[in-house]
Amino acid sequence: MGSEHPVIEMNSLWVVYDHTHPALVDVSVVVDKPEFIIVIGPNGAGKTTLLKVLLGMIKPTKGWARVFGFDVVREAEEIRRLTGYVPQRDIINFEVPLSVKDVVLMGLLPKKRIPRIPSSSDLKRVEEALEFVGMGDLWEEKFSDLSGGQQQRVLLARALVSEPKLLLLDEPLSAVDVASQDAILRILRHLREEGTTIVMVSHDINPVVEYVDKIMLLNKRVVAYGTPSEVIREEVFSEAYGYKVKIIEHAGVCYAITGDVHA
Amino acid sequence: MIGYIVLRAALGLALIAALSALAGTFAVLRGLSFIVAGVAHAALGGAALGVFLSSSGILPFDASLYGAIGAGLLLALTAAYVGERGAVGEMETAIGVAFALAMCVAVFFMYYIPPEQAPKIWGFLVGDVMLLTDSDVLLLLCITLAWLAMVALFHREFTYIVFDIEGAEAHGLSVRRYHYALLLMIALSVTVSTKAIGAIIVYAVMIAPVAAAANISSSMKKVFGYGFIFASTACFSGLLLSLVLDISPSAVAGIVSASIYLTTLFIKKGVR
Repeated sequence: MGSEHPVIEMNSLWVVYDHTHPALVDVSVVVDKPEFIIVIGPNGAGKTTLLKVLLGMIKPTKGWARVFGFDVVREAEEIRRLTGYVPQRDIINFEVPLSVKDVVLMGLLPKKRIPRIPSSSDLKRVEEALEFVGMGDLWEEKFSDLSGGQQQRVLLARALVSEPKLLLLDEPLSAVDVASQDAILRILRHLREEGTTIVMVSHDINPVVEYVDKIMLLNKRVVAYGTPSEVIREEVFSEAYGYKVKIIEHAGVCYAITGDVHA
Repeated sequence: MIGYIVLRAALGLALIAALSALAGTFAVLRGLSFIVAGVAHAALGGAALGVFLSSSGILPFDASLYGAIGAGLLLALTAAYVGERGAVGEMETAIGVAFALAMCVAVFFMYYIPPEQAPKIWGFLVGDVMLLTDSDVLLLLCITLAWLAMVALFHREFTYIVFDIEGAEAHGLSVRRYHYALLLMIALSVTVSTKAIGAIIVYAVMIAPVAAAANISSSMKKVFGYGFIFASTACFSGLLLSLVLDISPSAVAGIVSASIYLTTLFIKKGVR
């Protein structure tokens, strides 16, 4: 199984929390070739839930989803072997004193057998992943001592160290300085050119719009899914956000003024 | 004989310091310091139930320790179940409810227990290190060895789930089994330590030394190391002072633990 299947298939997918709170409603999307997709929408739109469904961490209430042909409920382990994940940084416990190297090893060792002792080739891969994200000289540093942008790049290295075919990122640009945002986006574009599919959740489309192939506008339902020129339209955004969203154009690129602040 | 008693107490305290460094580290870093107090008091309720079952003739043996271990593990299982998705706040609430329930159970059964059996229960609240038995020390040794084996094999897994349980799961770790194993081992350590030296001192030496170590450590190895040193300092200063002066070793250990924690807190703030 693998390359002959679409990267992602979601069919009439529902996720309902506590039997009463729908997070995703009737989502049907197919990603059949490597693309850079940004998922945007207002707070509580189900963006993070969507990523967790694809990783098999949340079971769909109705419908189904497959990644590289593997079912997210029954074959989550296979999916996780092929997928890298960058979670929201605020769920990480900075009180745990780990070095940068140890954090990146975390992307490799769970996939090994117990006792999961890192080999010299594992350490080499960690070094390469850190160099790839421009953090090679910081690998002995304490993770919690780094800046927000540096931490985010280390988490990206952790997701990339197992050379995934699909990369899922949850708000990787949140609370990150502009220089780090730019560095992260250039890395992602390079990965996309190498054939990695990228699905990135963000509350702000504007820093990313020049880099992405597709935009998924989500508000529990898929309000729109297509290329930036197809999706970035006032009526589409206004429907998703529930209020008037202004679109402005600069140097041939459209930007949305949503005024949304991530909680 | 007195020399033997002191030696046994010293060995017991060294083992409790080791358990503090092992179990306490993961409890503190998981954000679950309260589980130590919860399990220690659940043990009290379980011991009361065990003594009641024995004294009323339902069980033909002294079931106080079994009751304590059962109640401690039940509290940990409840907290683990509630927190399967990693929500620490919900686990703390469950621990709080179980804590209150266990204390109520203890008070409930106290009425039906013969007065001469009551010290068995109070021993779980305010133990005395000089009254440790050989079997207490043996039990502490077994739990410490089990912890050392677990940490040798699974320290990375436990560290990953305290650092980022969601990321650990996404990268392929079966977090559920380690989450349960961690909480059950913490509960077992706390229960056995409570039996040996009482709930009050257990909370003092299991949390504060490790929290102090975490304040000044740059690696997990240092948290374990400093945690052991600080817990030993607290325990042995209590033991030594109680030999010289007529004071409670538990109280001294608790005061020394808290003082070490406050000192490291100021150091940490000063560094920032």
